[in-house]
Amino acid sequence: MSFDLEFALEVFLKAITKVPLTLGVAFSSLLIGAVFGLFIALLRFYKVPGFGLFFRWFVTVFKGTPMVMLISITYLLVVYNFDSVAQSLGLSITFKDVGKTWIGVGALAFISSIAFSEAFRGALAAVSKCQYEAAYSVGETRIQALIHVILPQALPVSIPMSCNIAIGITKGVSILYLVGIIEILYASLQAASRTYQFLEAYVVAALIYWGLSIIIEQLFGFAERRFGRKVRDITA
Amino acid sequence: MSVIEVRRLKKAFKQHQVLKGIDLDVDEGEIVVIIGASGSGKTTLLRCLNFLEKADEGSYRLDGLSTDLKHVTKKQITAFRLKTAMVFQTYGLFLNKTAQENIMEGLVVARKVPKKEAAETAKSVLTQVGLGDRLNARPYQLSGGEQQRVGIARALALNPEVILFDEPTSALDPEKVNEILDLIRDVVSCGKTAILVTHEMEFAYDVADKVIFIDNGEIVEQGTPQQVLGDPQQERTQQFLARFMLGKQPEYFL
Repeated sequence: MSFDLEFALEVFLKAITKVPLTLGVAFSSLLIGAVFGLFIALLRFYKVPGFGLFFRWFVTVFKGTPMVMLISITYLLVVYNFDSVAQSLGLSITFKDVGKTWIGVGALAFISSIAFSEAFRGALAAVSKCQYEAAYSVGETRIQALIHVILPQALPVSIPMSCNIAIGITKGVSILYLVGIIEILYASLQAASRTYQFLEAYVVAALIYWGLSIIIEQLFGFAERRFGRKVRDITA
Repeated sequence: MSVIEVRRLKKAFKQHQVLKGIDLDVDEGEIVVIIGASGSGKTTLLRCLNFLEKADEGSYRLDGLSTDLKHVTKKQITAFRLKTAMVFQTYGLFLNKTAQENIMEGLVVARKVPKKEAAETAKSVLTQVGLGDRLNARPYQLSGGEQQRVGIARALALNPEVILFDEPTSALDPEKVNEILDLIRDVVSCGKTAILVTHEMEFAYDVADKVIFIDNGEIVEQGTPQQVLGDPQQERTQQFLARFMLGKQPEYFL
């Protein structure tokens, strides 16, 4: 079997146009996920009554659910129920007005918030107890200590883990082809379906995702060097 | 007039009763040194005074603030903390901040002092502890002794009613210990109220107005350094001080 380079280039040119959409979906779900993830991490870390235990189980359950299923289930739930819920709320919008892309963003944001919550929880635990105590000892409240002392130290610690999550979620966008969102993989397969040259399509999609991963890794590496500097050598 | 008055303070970790009803009085400008074996509860007592440990029961008065320790609220805890400052065994400098920022932090964030004023204060206390040229150094760029100097400067800058020292020289090498002890002597001897937990008996003897010996969660003996360290009455105190006494009076044994 031969690899049709010329055809691969043709697929590439079609698939590459979906890079902005893929990155847009990945970026917005990561942003939403990071905010919720931080929130969950804090509730669990400070063992806020009720919430702490709730999110412990919440995270356990959804960490153990494969991404494909979470995305499919979210999609089906929204498709079946969106119009009737919107109607009962007195809204005149329908499923068609919202667009599938946002369902993808929602599902991936959900998945990334679980992952981020674990990354941030680990990072919070990595800040030594003495830092919390020193902040309290100078009269700071828990929130002041968190903003001025703890998070500036914890967030740099979470950068390598966050990089993993960012790459995972970006690759996860490819699963959204299942629910008909036309991202890089979907676009490649579409181009190939005419001539059944799927090998080329998959390889091209893989190469593009690979390129994106490298770029993301470089960005996080830069962030790590930039923000890690202030607290470096603290363990020595 | 006593600035601190603690009555029947009790604290347990799970089943283990660490403090079994401590009464403590500290007068304004007094330097109190708490001594005792490891695990006797002396550090826990100190930490109960700024609520890094929450005592189970007892009453606590500190310069106009008073509370029943069993029912203390978050607001009260913050109010108490604003009247205290602590110097930690492991320095406890904010690792994400420079020496100067470390000192400004408690002033600007917790006490709402204007930034400019706080920066000036920080500069002057750092000069006082001999680090006037290291304002922008970060903790990992400072030696242990220098970090503890910043720690002491941070406590001074807050101008608290009382400074709590939690074994401030235990993490330092022997050479630096005396340097830091001299500094502490300087800063507390000008009328600051201070409570120190330390294993440096010589220092306690020199500096303290009152020495308290704690054993097994109880105050066994207290009084002037001459009384407690020089002529202890209780057997437990004598045992604990045996090594120190040997050092104090070698001529009897040679």
